[in-house]
Amino acid sequence: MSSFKWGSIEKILQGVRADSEFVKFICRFLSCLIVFTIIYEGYLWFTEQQRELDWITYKVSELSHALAVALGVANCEFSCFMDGCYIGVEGKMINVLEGCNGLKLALVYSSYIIGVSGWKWQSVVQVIVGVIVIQFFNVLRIGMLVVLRDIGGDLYFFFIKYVFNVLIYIAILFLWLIKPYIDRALYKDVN
Amino acid sequence: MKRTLLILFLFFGVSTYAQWGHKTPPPNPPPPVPLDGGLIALIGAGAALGYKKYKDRQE
Repeated sequence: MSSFKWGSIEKILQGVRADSEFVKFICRFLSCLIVFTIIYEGYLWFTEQQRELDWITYKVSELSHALAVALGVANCEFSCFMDGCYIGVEGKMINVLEGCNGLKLALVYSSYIIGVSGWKWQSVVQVIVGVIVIQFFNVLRIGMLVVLRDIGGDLYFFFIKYVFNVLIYIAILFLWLIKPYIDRALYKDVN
Repeated sequence: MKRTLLILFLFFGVSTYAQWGHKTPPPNPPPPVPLDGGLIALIGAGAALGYKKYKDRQE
């Protein structure tokens, strides 16, 4: 029994040695994610102590409200409270909470980019562009949800549950997949 | 003039702070629009993508 255990541990160690590059990536990816999450949670804790809403949720809500108004939602209201913002027409509002601001997705995206390439200026450029893309999609999502809620019907619940969320996740995967091509372009510029 | 500017500054400062959201929410909040439901799946997808990338490089 003990020999079997030692054998399996040895196999794992051999696998780790063979995939040392991958192990380094996983360590960088997860450690970045943990550090970013700690910083973000610390910021949320600080705003909670101040009895305020966090700035990111506020800005995402504000931009989504502006988009909904631009898309033609009449009498679109916008008010913020300690735990989130309400956007929409009276009686048909939606609640934008901290979990709706898309920043946690942006943290996972950024951790992957740094996990693959390390701390380089090219990574920072990709992180900034990626976070802007994610937030653009998120503002578009919330703005469209306000419009759909104003129109009414079951369409809103279908979009809120599936379509928009899946679109943002696909956008992140797409950014990860095209990363090698972006890297090539950025490194070519350097050389 | 200085007094007018000061009043304007205080007015906008207070109104901006009020908009920021330090009020307690009213009862019966509207439905939330969460986005972070698939975080674990996204982390898993990132790990899988990284594994594929390194395997491709090894080959």
